[in-house]
Amino acid sequence: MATMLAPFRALITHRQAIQIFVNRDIRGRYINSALGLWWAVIQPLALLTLYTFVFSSVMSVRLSASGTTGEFALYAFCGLLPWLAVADALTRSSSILLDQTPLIKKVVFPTEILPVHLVLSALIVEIIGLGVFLAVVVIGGRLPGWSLLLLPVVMALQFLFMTGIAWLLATLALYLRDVRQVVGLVLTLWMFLTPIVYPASMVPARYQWVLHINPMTAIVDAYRAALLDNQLPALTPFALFAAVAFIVFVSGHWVFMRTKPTFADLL
Amino acid sequence: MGSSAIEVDHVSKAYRLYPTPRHRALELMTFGTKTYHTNFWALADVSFRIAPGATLGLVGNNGSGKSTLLQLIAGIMVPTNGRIAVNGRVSSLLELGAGFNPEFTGRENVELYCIVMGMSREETMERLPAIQAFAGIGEFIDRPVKSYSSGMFVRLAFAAAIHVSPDILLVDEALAVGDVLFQHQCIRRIREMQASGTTIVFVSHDMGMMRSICTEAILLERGRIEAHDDPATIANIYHAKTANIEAAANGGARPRRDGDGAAAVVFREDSGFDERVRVFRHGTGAARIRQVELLDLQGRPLNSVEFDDEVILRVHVQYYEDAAFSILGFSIRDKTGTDIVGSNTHEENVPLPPRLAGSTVVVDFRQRLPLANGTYSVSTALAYDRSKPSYFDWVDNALVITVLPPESGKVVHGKVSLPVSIAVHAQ
Repeated sequence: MATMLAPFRALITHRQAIQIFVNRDIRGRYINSALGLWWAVIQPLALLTLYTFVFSSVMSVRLSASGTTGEFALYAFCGLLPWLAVADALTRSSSILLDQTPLIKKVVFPTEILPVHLVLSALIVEIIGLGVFLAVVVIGGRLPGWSLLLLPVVMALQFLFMTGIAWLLATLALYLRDVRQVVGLVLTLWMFLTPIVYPASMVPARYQWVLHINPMTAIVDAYRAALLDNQLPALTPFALFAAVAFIVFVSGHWVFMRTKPTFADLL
Repeated sequence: MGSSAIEVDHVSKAYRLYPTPRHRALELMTFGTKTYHTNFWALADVSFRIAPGATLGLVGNNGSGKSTLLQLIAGIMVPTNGRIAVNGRVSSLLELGAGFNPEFTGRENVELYCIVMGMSREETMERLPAIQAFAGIGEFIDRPVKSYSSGMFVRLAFAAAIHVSPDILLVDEALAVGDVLFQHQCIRRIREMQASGTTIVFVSHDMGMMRSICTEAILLERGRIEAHDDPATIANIYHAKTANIEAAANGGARPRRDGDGAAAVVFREDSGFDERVRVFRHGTGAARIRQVELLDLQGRPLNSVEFDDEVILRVHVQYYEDAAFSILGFSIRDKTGTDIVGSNTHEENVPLPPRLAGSTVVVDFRQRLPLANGTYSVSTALAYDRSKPSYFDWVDNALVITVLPPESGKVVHGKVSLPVSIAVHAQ
């Protein structure tokens, strides 16, 4: 029980430090660019435009025989937003401890908050993207339904899932520097194993199980249910994902804290 | 056992050295059933206890394990064998500004430091002004740390480390950086912390400083405790050990003597002086020391002093309120803050005349300085009561004096060389 509560307690204890770190990170992303924070808006807008163009004018992908091609751009973008956050946080967490060597070797510091702040930072960028997405959808004449209220729950679980993996990756990368190289490759593979830029229905029946065991499928499906379909996400996969997220979060923290005393030796 | 601030119990620390990173991976994959590393023992079977409020000096050559020991006490690393118990909040200054992000401002970095050290946001906001005043880097506090000089960096890092009111302060030679004034300021602050019961562990190569600050010392050699004794004894052992290593590098520039010759003694104020000593002064302010000068006997300003030179310490005082009685005094301190020489107008029976508001007085102290080479700071004070210490103005670090080694090559034993006559009675 104590092990299960420990990561939550850590978040509460260090909330102020986490807040400062997230704050610094968000500003750090854009601090030296002329447009500053506007980039958080421009980037998703540009991506959405690009997707719309590619999927409706070039590739003409349809979700179903009756669907429009513009529909698919929204579908893809909706899956892409959480994915980008995951990819960003995980890529960065694999090198965060190496980047922050002085903090680990020379200061008494709660290193466990380093991966956490990367996840939160990525999620905040994602939320700005979601804002842009919703604005576009509303301007397009489609009001989101009650299901939108479910999104915070989805994001909270996504946070647990991402943070758990981030802790694991950060630890592993200290023991094996090669992890940093591998993460990029694995993330590319993972993206294609998730129905982000293709509809799940395109996957042949005998490979459908890959989608089912992939927790990212549950995330993007939940996003689409909440944002596009005005539905509750399918209960079984979502409940399974919730359990996975919780287990990953707790075990990630456990591994991180168990190996933490050796960090200074490994750098 | 609960009475110790720090308890180190048979502690050893090994660093694992792998031939290549691949060997580390191999060992990891065999789950430790096969070993590919060799151990380097940075510390071997170290035990000691420090009482709360004590100041421990760690002495030893490079690679003797001082920094490893500090890191272990700080809790940054865990010992390979043995146990370390620490009671209280630890603040460490192991590396200057470690964890400061160069892109962000001094203020932001200090805020983060305080919060990471376990202070609340409100406490942090409360201490910020004090930290800012101590660091004395002015408007730079709101500029990115990357634009700081190394001196400013030290100031800010040290200011932050001491203002989180730790129970235990660990300092790893951080004080070696920074200018003389700041060193004096730091040492004064360390003395205050000692007085308030802070336990301090202090790594230094400066035996003089170690002797004057520490209450006990440990000499480390190749990861073992060579001796644990009072600072003076440890310093002697260390000196004896390093005597053959130390090169006699005592060049040093000769004093530069310039100026425009003797001038009439007139009151002069210097706004730069006020600005510079702002953080070093206290007192009622009814009268103020406006300028302190170091002059040779012809009245020309000096930058440095030859051993045993006679100099004039000229203090310019301005009264803002009527003062029937006042005493002006000075004290010359070495860089550990120990008073070496000093006196005042009352002690020497040269009373200051009663002064009206707006009037001034200039006092020359003529003093011979048979001091060991090094830097000294001058404190000056203007008191208004002979029976108890009450001051119009007290200014520390009013002036810094560099004393050069004797030209004759004579070695000064101790801090002051007093005349000695030797009679040899050969039988």
